[in-house]
Formats: sequence, C-alpha cells, structure tokens
Amino acid sequence: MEETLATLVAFPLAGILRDNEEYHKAAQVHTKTLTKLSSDAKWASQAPQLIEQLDPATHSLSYLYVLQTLKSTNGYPLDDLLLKLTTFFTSFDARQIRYGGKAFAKLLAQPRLQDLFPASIAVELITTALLRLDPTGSVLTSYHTDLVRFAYMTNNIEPVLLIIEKSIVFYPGMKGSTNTRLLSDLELPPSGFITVENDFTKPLDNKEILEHDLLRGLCFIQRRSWQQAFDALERVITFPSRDNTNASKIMVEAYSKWVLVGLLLSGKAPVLPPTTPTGSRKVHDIMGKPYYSLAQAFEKRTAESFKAEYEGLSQTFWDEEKNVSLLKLVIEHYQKWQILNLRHVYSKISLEQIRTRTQSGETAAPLGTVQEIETLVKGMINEGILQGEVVHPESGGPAYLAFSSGADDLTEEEFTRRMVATAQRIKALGPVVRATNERLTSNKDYLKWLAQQKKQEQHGQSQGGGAGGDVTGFGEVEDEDLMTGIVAG
Amino acid sequence: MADPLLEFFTQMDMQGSVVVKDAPKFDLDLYIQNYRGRTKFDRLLLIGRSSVKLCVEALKAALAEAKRGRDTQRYREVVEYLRIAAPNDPDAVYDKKWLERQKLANHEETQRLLSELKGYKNNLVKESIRMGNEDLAKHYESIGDLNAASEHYSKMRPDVSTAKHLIDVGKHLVRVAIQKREWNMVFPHLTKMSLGGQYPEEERSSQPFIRVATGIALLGQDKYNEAALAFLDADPAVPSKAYNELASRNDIAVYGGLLALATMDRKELQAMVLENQNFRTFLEPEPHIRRAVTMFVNGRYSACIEILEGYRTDYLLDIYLQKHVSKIYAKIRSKCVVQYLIPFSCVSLDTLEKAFGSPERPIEEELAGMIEEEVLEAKIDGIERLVNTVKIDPRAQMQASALVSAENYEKQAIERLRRMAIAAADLELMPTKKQGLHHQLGGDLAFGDQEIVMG
Repeated sequence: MEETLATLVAFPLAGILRDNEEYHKAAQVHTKTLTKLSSDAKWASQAPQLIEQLDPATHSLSYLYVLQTLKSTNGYPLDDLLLKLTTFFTSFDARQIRYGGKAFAKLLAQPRLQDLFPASIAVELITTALLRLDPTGSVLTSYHTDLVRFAYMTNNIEPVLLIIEKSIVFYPGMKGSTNTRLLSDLELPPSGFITVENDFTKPLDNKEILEHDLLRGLCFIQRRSWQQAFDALERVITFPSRDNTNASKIMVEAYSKWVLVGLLLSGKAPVLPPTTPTGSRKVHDIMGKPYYSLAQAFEKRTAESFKAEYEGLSQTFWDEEKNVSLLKLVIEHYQKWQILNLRHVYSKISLEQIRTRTQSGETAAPLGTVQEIETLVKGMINEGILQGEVVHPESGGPAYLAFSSGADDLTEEEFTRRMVATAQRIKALGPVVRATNERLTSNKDYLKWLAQQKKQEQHGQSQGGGAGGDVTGFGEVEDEDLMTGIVAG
Repeated sequence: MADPLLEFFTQMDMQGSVVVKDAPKFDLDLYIQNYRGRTKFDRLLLIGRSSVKLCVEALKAALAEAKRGRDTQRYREVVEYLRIAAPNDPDAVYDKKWLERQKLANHEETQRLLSELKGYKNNLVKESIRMGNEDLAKHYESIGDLNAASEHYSKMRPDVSTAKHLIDVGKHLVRVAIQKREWNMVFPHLTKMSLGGQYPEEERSSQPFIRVATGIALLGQDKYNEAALAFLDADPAVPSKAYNELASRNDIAVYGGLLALATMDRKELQAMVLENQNFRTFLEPEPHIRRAVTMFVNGRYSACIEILEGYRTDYLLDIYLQKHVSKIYAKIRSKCVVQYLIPFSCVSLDTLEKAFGSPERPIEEELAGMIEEEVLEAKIDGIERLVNTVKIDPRAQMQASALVSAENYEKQAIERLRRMAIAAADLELMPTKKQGLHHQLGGDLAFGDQEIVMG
C-alpha cells in the first residue's frame, strides 16, 4: 500500500519535468503504470484509503484512476463518491488529464453523472469539467450533445449557458489533426488532444452536430435570447452539404424556428445567408413556405394578411409543427414591432394615434382603448424593447409616448467597450486560426494546391501571392481554393 | 352629345386608360403641327382617348390624318372610337369605298415593290437593292405592318455604302422600335448608328435624333436620371425636322426639364439645366418649365409645384409622359419637401401643410411615408406638431459601421473556420442512396414545444 501510494504521487514530480518532452515521457510511463495497477486484485480494496492521500489538483491523473475504480465498484458510500467526483471535476489539472482520456470518459459516462446527481448539479458539473479540459470550448464532443439535450429536457439551461455560448469550430475526426506536437504541449490547440483516438469523444456524425446546434437554439429560445438563438439555428440551416444534398429533417425544423425567431429579433423576414447550400435552399423554399409567407405578411402595414396567413394553416399543421408557443409570441409581437417601427418616424406620438395606426396581430384590429395601448407600451418599456416613456401632460392634454432620442447612439465608453470586446474575441481566434493553418499545411492536398499555384505563377497567371497559404486572409480567392481542395480530397 | 361621351369615357376608364377631365393649355392644331409622320396619328388618338374636352376634335383630326395615310387598320380604329364618342357626327361612318380602294391599292403597291426588289436582286446592284428594301419597308410602315417594316429596314444594312445610309437605317429601325414600344430594342440600333467621329457632319445632324430616342427609351424603362441626361444633351442647332417623327422641340424641353427636376439636386439643376446654353434654347418655347426649375433652385418649392400642377393636364396627354406623370410628380414633390426642410432643424406641421398640403392627403401622412421609405431623414413630433430634421452624426455613423464590420468579421471568421473543420472531418451532408429527408430525428428525442418562460 505504501509502495502503491509512492508510485501514485510520483507523477508529476514538481521541478524535475522541465520541458514538454520529459513531461510527455513521464506521463506516458505513469499512465501505463496506472493501467497495470488498476488491473491488480488489491487495487480495488486499497482505493478508498488511497484516495484520501491524493490531491485531485496536483495528482490529477492518479486521482482519476483511483476515483474511476471507486465509481465502478460497489460498496463505496455514495455520498463520499459524489463529493469526490465534485472536487475532482472542479479542480483537476487539465494537462495531466490529457493522458487519461479513457478513464475520464468512463468517469463521465459509466454510469452517467446525470443518473447520479440531481439534474441541475449534473449539468453544472459536466459543464465545468468540459470547460476545464478545453477552456476555449471550441471542440465538439459527444458529451456536448448529450449535455445540451439533457439540460434542455430537464430545463436546466442556466448552468449550461457557459458552454453553449462558445463557438464550436472544431469537430472530431478532422483529417490531418494527428499531431506532430506532444500532448503535454501547453500551446497544443484543444483539437489536438480532444480526439476519438484519445477517447475524449466518440465519433460524431452530422446528425449529432445539427442536433447540437438545434438544441442550443432551443435553449436560447427558452431564455428569450433571440440573437443567440437565431445564430445557433442559422448554423443548422446553413450546414454545408456536398453535391446538392437535400436538407435533413432537423434543418427543416430549424428553418421554421429560425424564421419565427428572426421575426421576434428584428421584426422582418430573415433572408437566407449566402452560405446556404443550394440543395438546402431548395428544401427550405419548399418546406418552409408557410413560415416564409407568414414572415412576409408580418412586414405588412396592416395585420389582416398576417392574421389570414396563420389562420390559413390548419390546427393539425401547428400541432405537428410544435411551434405553437413561439407562434403565439410572434403574434403578440406583431403590434409591438409596429409600435417600435414608429420610432423611426416619430419622436413623440399620442397614444390615441398609436391606437389607430397599429393593430393587434390577434384580431387584426386596433386595440379598443387608449388604456390597453398604454399597458402594452409600458410593458414594452419594462421589457427593455422600447426606449422611451409615456407622458401624461400636466396641462391635461392627451397622453403620449416620447421615444428617447439618440437611443441608438452609443456613448463613447460603450463604443470603446464593445469594440475592445470584439477585438479581443477576434484575437482569441488567433490560436484557432493557427491550429487550422497547421492542420491544413500538413495536409497532402495542400501540397497539391501549392504545386498548382506554382505552375500558375510560372504561366504568369498568378492570382497574387498566396504561396504562404495564410488562412488569416479571409475572403481571398486562395482560401476558397484551399477549401475545395479539401472537399475534393 | 354629353351622354355618348360619358359612355365613351366610362369604357376608356374600364380599359384602364387615363381620363383627363380638365382642358389642356395647348391648342390642338398648333400642337400637332410640330410633328411629322405616324406619330401625329398616335398622338391625336391618345388625346382623343384621354381628354374629355378635346375628345371629338382630336378623334376627328386623327380620322382625317388616317385618311390621308394608307393604314386602313388605323382608320377602322378611329372610326370605331368616334362612333361611340360622337355617333351623330357625319364622320362617324365607315367610308367603305375608300377602305376598299385603299386596301386594293396597298396590295398592288406591295406586289409591285416586291417584284421590283426581286428584279434588283437579280441585277446584283447593291444600291438598287438597298433602295428597293427601303421603299418596301417604308411602304410596310405606312400601311401599319411594323414587323415586316423592321425586317426590311434591317435588310438594308448589308448594302449600305455611305455614312448617311447607315444613319438612315438606324433612324428607321429606332423609329419602328419606338412605335412598337420595344424599348430595349432601341439601344442596339442606336449603338450601330455611332460612326466613331469619322463623319462629323453626319454625326452632328443625327445627334439630337439619337439623344431624343435614347431619352424616350430610357423614360420607357423608368430610368429617369439617365433619360434626363440624354434630353439635356440634345443639340438645338439641328432643325427639328431631323427628329420630329419622335418628338418636338417643346417635348425635349418638357421631358428634359421634368426628369431633371425629378432626379437632380439644386446644384446639378443650376449647372446642367439653367446654365446649359444648348438646353436653354429648347426651353425658350416652354418658359414655365424654366420657371419651375428656377423656382426649385431658388428654394421656392411651393411655387414650383404650383406651376407644374398647372400643366399636369398637358403632360397627361403626352404619348410618352402619360404613364409616368404621377410618378415624376411624386418624386418632384417629395424632393421639394426634403429640400424645404434642409435649412431648418425644426418646422411646424402647419407651415408645411400650408406650403405643400393637399386636401386629399394630410401632410403628416405623406411625411410619415417619406420617412419610412428613407427619402427623408426626420422625426415627427405628433404632440407639438413639429417636424425635426435628423442631423446625421458622422461620428456615430462611423462608430456604428465600425462595430458592424468588426462583428461581421468575427462572425465570418468563425463560420469559415467551422466550415473548414466540417469539410476536413467529412461531416457534410452527403447524398444518401435514396435522396430525401434522410435524417429522421432520434427516437429518444422529442423536441417538445415547451412553454417559453421568461429568462
């Protein structure tokens, strides 16, 4: 037992492992030892004592193996186990865990944490664990999909927000991600170690990716974060396809929600982004027609055609579509958008004028009284949709709505803050771009492309530099070529 | 006489043509003297169909015009109209004898010209073939067979030998295309008329024709600004005979002036209309157009509108302007309102109402419409009844656009990286054996329509 413990705490020895290579070798040796030890008969019985001697933050890899044994054997008190799991997931050293993918996967999934902990804690714990492993949150794993689905189904969206707000730009199974760099390299992009080979994820298919983004969209809808929901759904409907493949059912479903969310977000029918593949575009045009006509009617000045559009669709249609509550919101927002649009035209407008100029989406008629308008407008102000105030003049004239002037203008600080934030986010993409660049330059198609480029230059048809293959030059022709090269490969 | 007229215009109204009740300012005889060729009849017929006051007079003039020509179809048409509008008029009966005679004569003439052309072709004399084609085409045009006319005019082209011939072919084809109202066909013919500066004399004499035809065709395609530029560029030194098969000098002034008013700002108007020596010559017979432009340039917008309104009837009776008058007037009007507001930061609605108001539509609604269409940058204060012009803050605008482009850049960068990753991982949607909606939702997953709670 003493001996085992000594082995367990032997890695990582502080101060000795100076560079990545030494660390890598030591870690690999240690993992082997751990695998051997854990198959030993005495191991399981010693585990409860061993775990007390280990610090999850410093001896994360050893701790992981011991904890995994405790989790898979019966007899260890559940309360203790849950406590240990919680401390481990919130404090482990990500660099060490890169070597323990298999055990880590088991710890997460066998049995699933969702079945051990109350739902809200499980969601929070998995989120923390995944983000500790990959703070950039840029790689999609099979756990992501499970986690988001679970969070949405159990309505624990708050704790999962941290992870679904990140932009996923890497997917497991990318060609050329077999890395020349060591796992221990702290500069190693997350796509370098979160791989199927390292057991951090199962292979994914496109259905799961689509589902993941759709679920993210649904979570944001639940939170009424329309912009984020819109972006997430847009990822689904513009998902790249090869050879004009039709859109999948998930995409069709996402399209309908995307249109409705677009109406809530901007009061206008959204336009399909140019990146939408032709095949999907056709399907959206046909399958999404009822939604699109509804959206177009939403833009009209009077509510009649809007009402006719949604009433024209049968109850069964809506029952099947499962968008009823979203539609209800859209109907409710019809008049709100009419009022909001008045801000472009009026600085002050009497409530009576608002009443006659706008109609309720539900009845397609103006509201009955000025009181109702006032309640509606005040509601909008409280929700923060509308910047302005309802004024009752002391002289006793009719009440009116005064739109705040310059509500759209930013203060100097606000502008700086937002600009800096965007700049930082773009800067943060640097490593991702480097990783992609590295991956692409190590691809054999890149060589092919380079040779081709050389040839063209010799023929005097250079398209302007480009031999560097720098991926940061977005929007240049070379990049498109680069992508087609991969598609062809 | 009132009843048949009423019936006539009810019919016209139902057919969707414009009906003008007020009397125009021009004198029909003087007006029609400005033109030559088939456009005379077209213009008379249009006035007959549109103007309540001039109906019978114009139709009778058109009838006389038709009878002077050889186009029997036109004769029938105008008699048909006249029979409804003025059944008791002595002219409102078919002159069957004339009709038969003319038909026969037309037929004989066609045969004669055809056989002549055949003879020329056998003799292989280029000049004779060209002239033979020209005579035949002219004959076809005069009897109203425009398709055959343009066919034979085109056949003249291989045998042209001088610059004048080339110009003539172009003129014929353009004239026919305009009669057929095939606006896009006008441009290719016009391009072929340009001689590249080798024959300055011919080019100078055909310049106004080309400008006028370009302008009319552009007007027909709603390209007002380009049309205005074409008219403004016409050369007044060339006698109107060169182009009065299309339009008169007065027309050039009116078309050019109105379209310039509708599309140009004050500076441009000053430089390109008022200080344009060439165009001033055209404006002389139409002083009110010059007055309207001057008023606009001097900022007296309501006076400008008033002058134009006074001539609305006249322009509604113009063959090319009729369809566009209301659009052009609306443009001028909204430009006036916009220009009126420029020097002020704040104007009361009542002042505006006085300057521009019309009984049909309160100015507030018109302004609201203009603001929504982004013609006007202003906000209405419905309580104090004021219009506040919005001062564009270039700094705020720059900041907003900087933010938008930065955010777009970020979004695009992420999207591109993601797409590359998807492609690299072979995760794109692929065609399955059976094309269709191939992915069904997972069985364990039912995307419920949960009640959306407040976040």
